[in-house]
Amino acid sequence: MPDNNAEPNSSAEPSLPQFISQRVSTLAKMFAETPLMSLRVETPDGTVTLEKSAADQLAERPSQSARFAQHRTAQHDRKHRTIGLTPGAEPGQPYETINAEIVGVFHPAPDLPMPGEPVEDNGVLGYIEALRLQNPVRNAKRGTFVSQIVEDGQAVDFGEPLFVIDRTEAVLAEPAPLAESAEPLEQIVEPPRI
Amino acid sequence: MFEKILIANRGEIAVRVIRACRELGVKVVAVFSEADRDALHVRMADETYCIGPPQAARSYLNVPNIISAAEVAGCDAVHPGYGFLSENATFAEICASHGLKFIGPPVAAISLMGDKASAKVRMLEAGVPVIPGSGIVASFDQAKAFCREVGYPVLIKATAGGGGKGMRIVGREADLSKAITAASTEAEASFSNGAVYIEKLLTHPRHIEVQVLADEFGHVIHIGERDCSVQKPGHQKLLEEAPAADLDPGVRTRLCEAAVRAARAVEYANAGTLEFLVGGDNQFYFMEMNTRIQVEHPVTEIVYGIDLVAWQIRIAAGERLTIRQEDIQPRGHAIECRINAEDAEKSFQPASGRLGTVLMPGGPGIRIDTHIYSGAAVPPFYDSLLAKISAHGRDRESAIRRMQRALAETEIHGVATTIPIHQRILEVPSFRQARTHVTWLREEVLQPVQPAVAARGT
Repeated sequence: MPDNNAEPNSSAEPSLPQFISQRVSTLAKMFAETPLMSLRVETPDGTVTLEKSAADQLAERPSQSARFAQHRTAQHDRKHRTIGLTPGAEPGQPYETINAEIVGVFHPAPDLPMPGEPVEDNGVLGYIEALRLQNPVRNAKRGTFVSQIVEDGQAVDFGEPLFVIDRTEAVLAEPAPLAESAEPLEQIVEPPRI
Repeated sequence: MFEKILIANRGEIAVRVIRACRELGVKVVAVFSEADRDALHVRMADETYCIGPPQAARSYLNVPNIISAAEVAGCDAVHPGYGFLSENATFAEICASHGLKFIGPPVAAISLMGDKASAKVRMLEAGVPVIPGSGIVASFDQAKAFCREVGYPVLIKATAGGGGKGMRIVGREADLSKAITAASTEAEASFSNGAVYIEKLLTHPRHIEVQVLADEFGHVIHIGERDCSVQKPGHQKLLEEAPAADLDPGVRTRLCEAAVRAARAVEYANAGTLEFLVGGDNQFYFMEMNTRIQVEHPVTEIVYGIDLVAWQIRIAAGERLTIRQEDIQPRGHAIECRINAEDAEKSFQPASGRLGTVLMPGGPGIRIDTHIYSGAAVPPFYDSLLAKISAHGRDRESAIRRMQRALAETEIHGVATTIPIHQRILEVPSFRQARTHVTWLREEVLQPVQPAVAARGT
């Protein structure tokens, strides 16, 4: 979706149409593999915004982990497809995921908000049971609860997305995060050199 | 036998352990960091868990995540490979407390051998020769007296040391006190322990180590020796052989017997290696014991026809070692070249990046242990070992020629490798005559025209 509100500019950078024809498809593929929900790329003569709806994200996960999943024993199968909490997403919403920071077995909090309900700063959304300890999964900043991605009792990896949170409210309240969200874009346009 | 083993490692050793597990019919759980999502060990495993970000401290050394992954996956044992947590007694203890069998020696043996000072004391008690040492340096006068007794050059070492940190070579008494202060300061900074001791430094010794295998019922055997004298500056091995060429048969027998005595003295179980320095006068001295599988284990496996990694697992599962000492007979000669992502022309500076085409050698007598493939990433966060190429021949000369043929077939594009330096080594006359020693590579290959090196007292 091109968004031509930036002023034109006569630099030697590729023009917006060139950028769209040459780079967006690659960018979209890389974007699809990240847990990011929206991506804005600024070029000298315009801005391209890529967005995922949470439904896309849910459909995405099993194919990503299919290679691993096929080996997994039945009791630990990742059952992303069976989650019924698909939100009615509108394109353009700044969704974020809350990811597991430790390896263990996931359990949602008993008082988990319903989709559409607000989530509090630092509110506990679930627990990861590891080494017989219940480690809380906390929400970092306020937003609206969209969905739970993994099932109760499922084993989770480090970095595995657990919840989708709509940050629209936070974004509207503080214009600063837009600039902040431009940072990871750099990394995606230029994949990290490892 | 175990049902399912978690491999707390990455790279070629994780692949090696997976192969042993497959042949034993054991399921495998791999763990990986975010930098290793596409790594070969992850592809080969039955189940996989991401345990953290790329930095080893937060992934491959992340004990809670590793133990949690083992519990979640329902593993009954953990194989630590080498490096990372393999010689960490606390990790072995935590495994045990979570009902996971640590595939390695008992915790007490890891702790004892992990502390160089206590290891030396125990070895002396067991009648294993150790390099004359001063004990922890308490005063300059004590240090001076010791050095006069054993003669210069001497080596100052940190008790908590490793990797050359806190080490100083001293060639004459005038430099002694300054070197002790510098080594102690460096050790304090690196290990939070400034204690140092002094050892007699041998001139041009060979590094010869003995592989031992022990079950949990007290049956201990040795599986011959390896010569690992070809080392980069900083004592990192580059090329290893089994058996050690031209080693006096009497010395070989005494070395191997000493290794078995040493293993018994610490009630060792599982696979382990005793490292010795062998002087020009054929005197040998215990250096340290590695309480894990070693990088260079393939040369022993090839020459003796024994699967060391499978035996590690079988012993940990409570099996009895069915090999008798008299069954241990070498067949031919094996050489291993470590192919690292390093540029020997630039002080072995490690390289990382994305590999282009990778073509590994094959054919008669060649064994490859690797985790790389065309297009694979070489992350900058871990050691630079890309592959181990091992060649087996009926004698040393035919193993060398086979290795030369294999190295010429090998193509690894995208990063600098140690293939060119190995090709040079294999051509050097003193290598062909098996006259290598621990500083041979530096003195005769890397800087052959600078006799000034001798001034450092080595």
